[in-house]
Amino acid sequence: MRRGARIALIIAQRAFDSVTRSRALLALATGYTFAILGFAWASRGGGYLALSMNLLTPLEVLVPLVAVAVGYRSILDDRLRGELDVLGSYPLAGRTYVLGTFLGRAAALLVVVVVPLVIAMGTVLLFRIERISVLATHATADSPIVYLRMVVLTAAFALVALAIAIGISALSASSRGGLAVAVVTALALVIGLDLGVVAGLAADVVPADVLDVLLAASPLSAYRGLVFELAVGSVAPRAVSGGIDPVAACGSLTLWAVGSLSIAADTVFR
Amino acid sequence: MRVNVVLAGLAVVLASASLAFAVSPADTATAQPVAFSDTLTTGMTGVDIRQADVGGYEIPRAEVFYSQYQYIVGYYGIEAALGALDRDATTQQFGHPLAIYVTDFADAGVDLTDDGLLTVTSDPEVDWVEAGEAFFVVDSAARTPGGPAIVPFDDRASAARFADRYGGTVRRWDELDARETGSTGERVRTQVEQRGAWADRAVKKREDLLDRPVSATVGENVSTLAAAVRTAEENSTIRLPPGTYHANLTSEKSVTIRGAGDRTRLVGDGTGTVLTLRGERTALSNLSIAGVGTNNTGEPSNASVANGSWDETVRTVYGYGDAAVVLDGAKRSLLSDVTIETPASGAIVRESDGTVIRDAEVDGTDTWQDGFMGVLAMNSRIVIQNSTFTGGRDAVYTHDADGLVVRNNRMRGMRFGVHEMFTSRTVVANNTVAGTNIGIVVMTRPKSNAVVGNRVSDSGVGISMSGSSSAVLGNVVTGNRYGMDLGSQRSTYEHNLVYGNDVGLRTGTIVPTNEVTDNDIIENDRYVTTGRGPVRVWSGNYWGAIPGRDRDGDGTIERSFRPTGIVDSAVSRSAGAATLARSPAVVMLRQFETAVPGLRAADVIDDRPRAESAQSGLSPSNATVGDGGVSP
Repeated sequence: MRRGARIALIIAQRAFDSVTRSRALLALATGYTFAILGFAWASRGGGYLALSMNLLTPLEVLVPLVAVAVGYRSILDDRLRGELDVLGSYPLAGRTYVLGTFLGRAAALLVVVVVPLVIAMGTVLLFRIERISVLATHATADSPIVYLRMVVLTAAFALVALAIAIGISALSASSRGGLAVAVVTALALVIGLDLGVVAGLAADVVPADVLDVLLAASPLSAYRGLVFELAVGSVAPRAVSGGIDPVAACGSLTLWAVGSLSIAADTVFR
Repeated sequence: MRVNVVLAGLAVVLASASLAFAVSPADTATAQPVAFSDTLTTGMTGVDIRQADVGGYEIPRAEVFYSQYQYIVGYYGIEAALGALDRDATTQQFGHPLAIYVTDFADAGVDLTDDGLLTVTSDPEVDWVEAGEAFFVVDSAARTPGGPAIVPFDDRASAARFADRYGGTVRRWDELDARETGSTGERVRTQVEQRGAWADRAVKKREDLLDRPVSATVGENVSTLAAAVRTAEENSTIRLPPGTYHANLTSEKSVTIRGAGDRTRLVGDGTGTVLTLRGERTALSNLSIAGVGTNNTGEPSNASVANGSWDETVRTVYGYGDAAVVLDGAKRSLLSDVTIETPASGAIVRESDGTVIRDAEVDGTDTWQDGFMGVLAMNSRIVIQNSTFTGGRDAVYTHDADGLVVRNNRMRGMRFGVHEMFTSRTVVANNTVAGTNIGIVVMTRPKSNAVVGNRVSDSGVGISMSGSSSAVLGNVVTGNRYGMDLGSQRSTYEHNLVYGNDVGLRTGTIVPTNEVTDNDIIENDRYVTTGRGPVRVWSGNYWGAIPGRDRDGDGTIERSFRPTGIVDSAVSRSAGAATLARSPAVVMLRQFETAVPGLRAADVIDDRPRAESAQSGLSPSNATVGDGGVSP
C-alpha cells in the first residue's frame, strides 16, 4: 500500500509538471482570475453574502470549463505519446495511475480555482463602504463563514468536474476526438444535465415532488443547491435558500467523482 | 515544484476553510444594546421628540438589530418598532431582527404627569432589556407627546405595579400587535379627501363675512380708517372706496374691511406692520397694501409669549417681523382678493385656526435674502388657495400648523415655494411653482403630509420631503436640477411625472423604507442618485425605453432595472448600453441583485419596471389634476 502511494505520488508529480509547464494553463488561469476578480469588483461595497451570491453563477459556468481544460488531455496525452503503453508494461495498477494523475492535476486545478477566490475575498475588506462614524454598527448576519463555505464547496465541485474530465480523457482515443468529447462534457455539465431534468419535468417523467433529490443527480445543480443550502441559505432570506437534499447532493457528487475515476482506472490500460 | 507540497498546502487551506462548517454564521453576530443616540432613529415626529426633550419626558424606545443591515435602527415608541417589524417590506429590505431591545423602566422610578406623560426620577436607571424578556403595560394612562405609550419593564412585578397605579394590562412581546393598518398611500388619500372637504367648508363659511351690513364708509360717514375701526359695530362692514388710506393700525373687532379693488390702497409708513387684526372672524377684502416695514424678524411686545416652550425662539423671532397683515388670534378670518407689496412678510398668521387666505397676490423682494415669507402660518390651521406669490423668501412658511391646506396657488422666483416646519397632516395640492431653490420642502421630521398634484419647474429641487407616513402623489416635476428628494421614511411616491430634470430622483435617508411606484421618470439626464445607505428596492415605475421586454404582456418588463447601475444608468445616454445589458456577463451579475439589499452598497433597483407610462393621458405639456383630488 505504501509503495502504491509512493508510486501514485510519482505519477502525480509527473501529471502536475506536465500541466504546470503548459502555457495554456497559464492563459486559462489568468482568464479565470480576471473573470472572478471582475465579478468581485462589480459587486464591491457589499458584504460576503452579496459576493457569494454574485460569484455563484459565474463559478457554475467557469469551474467546469477550467476543470475540463485541465483534465481532458491528462490520460489522452500519455496515450497519444505512447507513454501509456510504456507505463502499462510496469507493474502499475490502473487505479494507482489514475489516482496519481487525478492528484497531480487536482493540485494545479485547485490552485487555479481557489487562489482567485481568496483574493476576491479581499475585495470585501478593501472596498468596504465607509461607515458613518457617529452611528453604531453591528456584525449583521453577513459573515466570512458564508463565503468560506462556498469556497470549500467550489473546491469540491472542481474536483468532481476534474474527475469527470479524467474519465472522459481515459475513454478518448484521438486528439481531435478528445477535444470534441471535452467540449461535449463541459456543455453537458453546464447545461445538458439540468436541461435533462427540465425535459423530464415537462414530459412528466420526473414528478416535481422528488425534485429536491433528483436535482442532485446533476453535479451542477448539486453544487448550486449545496451553496444555497449550506452557505448562503444559512443567513439569507428564504427566497434564495434550500431546494435540495444535502445528503443526496453530497452522495451524487461523490458518486460522479468515484464513478468517473473507476471507469478511467478500468479502461486506461485496456 | 513538489506536488506533495502543493497538495499538502491545499489540504491545509481547505481543511481550515472547512472549519466554517463547524461554526454557525448566526453565532458570530453579537448584538449588545448601544446608546440610543448612536442608532438610526425613526418613529414619532420631530415636534413630539422636541417636546419630550424640552419637557423632560421619557419616550419608550426600541433598538432593532437587523440581520442584513449594519446600522442599528432606533425607534421612538414601542408602537413604531412593532409597526416596522410587522411590515414585509422591512424584512425584505433589512432581513429579520437578530435582536430587539426595549427601554426598561423597572428601577427608574417611573411616574406620570397630570397629562399622563412619562417621567423618571433616575434617568441612568432607564436601561435596556431584550424584548422577548420584557413585560409591557398597554392601554394605561401613560402617553408620549405623540399619543398613548406602551411601557416596558424587565420584570413582571414592576409592570404589574405600574398597571395597578395607572391602569392597563401586562403583556409579553409576542402578545403585542401592530396597530398600523393599511398602506401609507391609502391613509393619506383618505386624509387628502377629508382635509380637502374641511377646506371647502372653511372657504364657503368665510364667504359669509363678506355679506355683513355696512356700518361705516370711510370718507362718507367717517373720516379715517382708524376712526372707522374704532367706531364700527361688531359684525359689520367698513367700506373703503377707491383712494389711498394711511394705516399702521390694530383692530380688535370682528369686522369686515372691504375695498373697491386695487384702487383702494392701504399704505403704511414703511415701518412695522400695516394692519394687525386680532378679532375673531375678521375679514379683509378687495384692496391693496403697501408701505410695509423692512424687518424680517422681530420680537413680541407681550412677554408672556416667551413661555419657555420647545419652539420659543422660532415663534418669537420669526412670528414678529413686519408684515402687510398680521392675524393674531383672529380665528376663522378671511383675507381675499388682497394685493400686497412687501419687503418683508405678506401675512403673518398666529394662533388663527380656520382662517382662509384666497385670491391674494403677494409681491416680495427680488432677491430672497432681502425678503421674508408670503404667508407665515404659525400654530394656525388655515387654508391658502388661488393666490399668487412672486419673489420674497418663501411663499408659504408653516410652523406647527398641523392640518393646513395650500392649494391652487402660483409661486415664482423665491427661495422655497412651500416650506413646512414642524407641521404634520397638511395637504399641499395643485400648486404651480417655478424658479425656486426648492419648490415644496417638508422639514423637521413631521408625519402624514400630502403633496398632491403640484407642478414644479425650473427649480433647484422640485419636491423635497422628510418625515414619515407621507404621500407624494400625482405631481409633475420638470426642468429642475433634482426632481425630487426622497428624504422621508415609510412614505409613498406614486403617479408622479419626473421629466427632464438633471437628476430625476435623489434618495435621502439611509433607512430606505419609502414606497416608490407607478411614477414616470423619463428624459432626465440621470435617473437617480443615491446618498449613503443600502440598496433600495422600488417597484413598477416607468423609466422610458430600457433593456428587457414585456414578454407576457402584463405591462411589466421582466428584467429588473437599476437606474443607478453602471450599465443601466447609461441607457438614457447611449443605445449601446442596452446591447451591453444583454451580455451574459452582465446578466450573471444581476441575478441576485435584489437579494439581501441591506448588505449591498447604495443602489436603486426597480424589480418590476413598467413597459408603458403609468400616467395615462398625462403628458408633460397638459398635466391636469382634479381640484383637491388625488387623481390620476
